[in-house]
Amino acid sequence: MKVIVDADTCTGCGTCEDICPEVFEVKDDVAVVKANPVPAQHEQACRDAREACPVDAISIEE
Amino acid sequence: MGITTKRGDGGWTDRLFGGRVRKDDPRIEACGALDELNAFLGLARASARGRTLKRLLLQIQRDLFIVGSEVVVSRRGAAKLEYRVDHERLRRIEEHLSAIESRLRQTECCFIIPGGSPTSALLDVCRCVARRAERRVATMHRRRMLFNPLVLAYLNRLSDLLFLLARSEEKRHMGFVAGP
Repeated sequence: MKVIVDADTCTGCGTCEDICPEVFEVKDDVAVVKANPVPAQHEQACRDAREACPVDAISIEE
Repeated sequence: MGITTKRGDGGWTDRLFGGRVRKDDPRIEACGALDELNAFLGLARASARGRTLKRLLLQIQRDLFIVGSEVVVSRRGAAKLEYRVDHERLRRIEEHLSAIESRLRQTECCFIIPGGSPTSALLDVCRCVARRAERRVATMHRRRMLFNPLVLAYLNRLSDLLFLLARSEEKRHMGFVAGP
């Protein structure tokens, strides 16, 4: 699984980092992906983060 | 600073220690339920006659600010919280629970019809709102948005305590009214 954050859309609210800190990190008010491809044990958390993102800035390639 | 900032006009709001989210975000829903609970607790406290009950309700109202901060804070911001929902806070609620439970008969703790007295009825409203807050926080927990699971335990105990406080208040005034 690969995760992409659209930096132009992201508001840096930190929701993804809250849900899956192993994969997402907010730097300079934008979320960045720090583990790509996503380790298997964090895949579901990444889907939850995509679901929770208030601006739909996260996309996933399964 | 004025109350009106107009920053929330677009349906977004700020979380504690930063990060803007939608106003219908699960965390803001939970925070709103806690705010509503605090308001109803204030009404119950204003209606209560006993000094002990008033003091306990005020303590719960103060606790709810701490619960609220746990609910809206980010994972990173949680480290900055001065007060937390911890085992000690949970223990205090459990002590009140045990003390009241020991004074009530089993039949006085079953299904009831609220309304034995104005204060007991308000405490039942508080209990219902507390259960809603608990459900909202459970949603957060399921969606990995809750960093301190003791918050869920606290709200569960608090709902039980509010139920028993209502029964205790009813008993003091006119006796409880059994359900169907």
